[in-house]
Amino acid sequence: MTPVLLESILKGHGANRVVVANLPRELRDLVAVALKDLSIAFVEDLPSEDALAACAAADVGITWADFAIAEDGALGEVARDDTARLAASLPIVHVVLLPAGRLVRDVAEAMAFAGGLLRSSGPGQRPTITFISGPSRTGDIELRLLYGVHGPHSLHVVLLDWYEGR
Amino acid sequence: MPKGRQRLAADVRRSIEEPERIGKLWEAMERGRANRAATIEQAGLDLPAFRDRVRSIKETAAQDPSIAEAFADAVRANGGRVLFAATGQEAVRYLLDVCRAQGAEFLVKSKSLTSEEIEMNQGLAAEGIRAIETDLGELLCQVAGEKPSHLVFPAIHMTSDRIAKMLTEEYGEPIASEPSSILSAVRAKLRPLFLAAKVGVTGANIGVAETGSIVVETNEGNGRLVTSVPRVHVALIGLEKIVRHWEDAADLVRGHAISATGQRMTVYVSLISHRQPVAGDPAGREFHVIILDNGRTRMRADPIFRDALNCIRCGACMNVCPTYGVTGGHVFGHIYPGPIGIPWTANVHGLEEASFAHLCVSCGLCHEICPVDIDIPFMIAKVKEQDVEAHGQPTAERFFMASEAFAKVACLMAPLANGLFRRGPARILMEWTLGVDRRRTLPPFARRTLRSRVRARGTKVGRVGKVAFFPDLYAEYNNPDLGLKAIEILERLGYSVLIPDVRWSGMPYVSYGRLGKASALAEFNLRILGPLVDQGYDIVSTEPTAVYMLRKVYPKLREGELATKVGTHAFGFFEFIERGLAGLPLRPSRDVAGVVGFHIPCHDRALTSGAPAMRFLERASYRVRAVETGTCCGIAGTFGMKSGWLGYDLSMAVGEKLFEQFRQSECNLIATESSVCTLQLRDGLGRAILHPLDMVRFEGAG
Ligand code: SF4
Ligand code: SF4
Repeated sequence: MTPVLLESILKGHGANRVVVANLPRELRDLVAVALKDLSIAFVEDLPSEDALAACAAADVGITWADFAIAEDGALGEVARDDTARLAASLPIVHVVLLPAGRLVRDVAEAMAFAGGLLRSSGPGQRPTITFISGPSRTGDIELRLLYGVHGPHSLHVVLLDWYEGR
Repeated sequence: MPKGRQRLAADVRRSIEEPERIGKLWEAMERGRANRAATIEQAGLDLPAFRDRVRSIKETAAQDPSIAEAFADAVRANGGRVLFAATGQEAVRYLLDVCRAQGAEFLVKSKSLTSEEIEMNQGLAAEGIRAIETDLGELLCQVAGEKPSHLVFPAIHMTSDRIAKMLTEEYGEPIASEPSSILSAVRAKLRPLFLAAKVGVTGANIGVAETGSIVVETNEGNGRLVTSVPRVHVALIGLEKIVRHWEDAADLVRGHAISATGQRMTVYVSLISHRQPVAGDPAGREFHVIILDNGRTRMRADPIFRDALNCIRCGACMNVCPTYGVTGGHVFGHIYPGPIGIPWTANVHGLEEASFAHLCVSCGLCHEICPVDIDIPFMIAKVKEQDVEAHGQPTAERFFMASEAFAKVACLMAPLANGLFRRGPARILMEWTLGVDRRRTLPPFARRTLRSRVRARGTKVGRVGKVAFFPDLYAEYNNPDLGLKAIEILERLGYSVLIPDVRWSGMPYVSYGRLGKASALAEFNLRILGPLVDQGYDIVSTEPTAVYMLRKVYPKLREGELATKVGTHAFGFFEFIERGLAGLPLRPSRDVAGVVGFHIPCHDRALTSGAPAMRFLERASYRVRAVETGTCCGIAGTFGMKSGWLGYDLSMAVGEKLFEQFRQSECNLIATESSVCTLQLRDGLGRAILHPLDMVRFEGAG
């Protein structure tokens, strides 16, 4: 199911170049199979100096969320390498895979969870955690709500009910 | 008139005569208020409890210097570098060194008010380094060479036509004025700059000491790029923004979003502790934090201005401020705009830049809406005080501060005085000599004061309780009938009523920055009221401003037990009588077909929001509806009586929004409690404005 879904999302956007980052190892193959017809790069595997250019040239970024905030419809991205954030922010379409069972209730719980993770990670080893509650947006021109100002214009969340997460 | 105010008057005039200068500001404010209210409701937020929590978190953060030290240690432990910058120049110099070390000719920035505070872009430009704003609104301001006009929507004053024209010129290629075309053009233009940037600068909404982390909140996602693409990330944070624990940060994240735009949270909330490697390679990735003082330690030591450090920069206060809504952030602001911009400007940029303080009409709404319960109006009164001491006080303000003495004399010569005040040469003279605007209707004075009439009439002894009736000027000198009616109802409900020997409540002293006089008057009144409260009296007034003074302002002017005690026993008339009303059969004395449009006086918003008065009318068979813009009617005590652009004209411009609502509301009667709001509505609408007490009869009485 998941590969088909992914394929249809990408087709819908007429995607050519896809970057993937921050996925659990065991999901990489699945994505590779689903997108076998497209140009696809696993950014972490690239030489560091090529990572930025690859993300900048892609039209879709596929990344991972470790958890989500139920009441606010927000994702919790945990990045220990900045390729995760580059792949999520530079392409115009962002697709996020999320294990369906990993939910916290609200911002307070999410902050407590994130705080715990940051504390336990130790100095210099802390991840960069981002709560993402939609595509990039602005109201700066005459209060008109517009998407995709710097980051993605579209955000797709694919919930995985068969996968527990890493 | 002092120079600063002359300039201000000219600016106000320009904003009123050319409303396009502020663009969609009013709409943005209205939307901001509505979204905030809707989200609070939807999220089921217990607002008072939330405010208390946020306040206590911020108070600790702002007052305890050891938190910033702990934060700095944790940042260093994470491998970051820290600078404590005493001034803005120090911060800019550090940033220059960072850029030079990287060989950077430019840097990319996400939105940071703190960087604006220290005029970072100008400081860098002077040394040949370009700071590129990437937040769309900020970028538009940068291209236009203008200051942001709103905290949350910096370019709200620009139309899309103007933006398109400006960018067409700047980028040298045609851009259509359709907002989506503008957006694509900006995205395309900025992208290569992002990719080539060696240094990225952000502010920080919160610093968290326990892990040495910062929280960066953005909607556009530019913050994500600024903190991931460049090799070096420099974060600039005011030292008051650092909290100890992650648990403290949760309420702030909620508070920023809800109060600013009514979002539940901003689109991207990033918790950043240090740089991450790129594809496994950590080489060259640097993290610097500049902790900025720039006057904050001084503010921390000031008993009044320390409150400004509690600000979470959500912008809610500017979304309610009536005069900001008409003048915009370029007039009502220096670098920090709006209500909270006044104490910040006075403290970090100097008194000379803070003369826009005199645009504040002391309506109190900003305090009312602030998620941190910051007493902004009181700090503004303090700034005004400093300003009038340095630059002098206009005659009109001196005159209105003498209102009580004037009212006494005017009553003595009432028929003559009233004739003179109506119109004509005497009013022109009054305008020239006293600065009282000739166009403003003044309330007539009564021949006999309330006190003398009550003395003549005698009072009854009641068994339900004891009331000290606080008439303030209006019920004493202008409309004793109103005072008498109130007293009569109180007596019928079983209260013994007396009028204590208090003076007026003295709001103009606060509005015009004479806190010493305000404080002395408060002390005088409290010394009379305190013993009465001890004897079991409650204090009741028909004037919302008097109750507001007793409950909210006196405790601030005279901190201590006495003022608190009196404050907790002070009530608005309708609020007070509500419980006993069941026993009082009320009849309408006016036509009840149609709807009564009710105006909620600002000073009552902090107290009861007009609810008891509206219920009172409903009890008398009226259909009642609050007609409101969510902000002030514009007269704001005596502000709208002063002549010219810093008085009547500005007051009417503010009022126009409310007048329009009333015109469209098709209500057949208009009511309000406040004496001055009555004047404003009458002058603006040319209709009779009623006090709720004028609209009822009760069995067996007139
Ligand atoms: S008290 Fe009223 S007029 Fe003054 S700054 Fe606050 S909202 Fe504006
Ligand atoms: S003073 Fe209060 S309402 Fe105004 S920006 Fe600060 S926190 Fe928000």
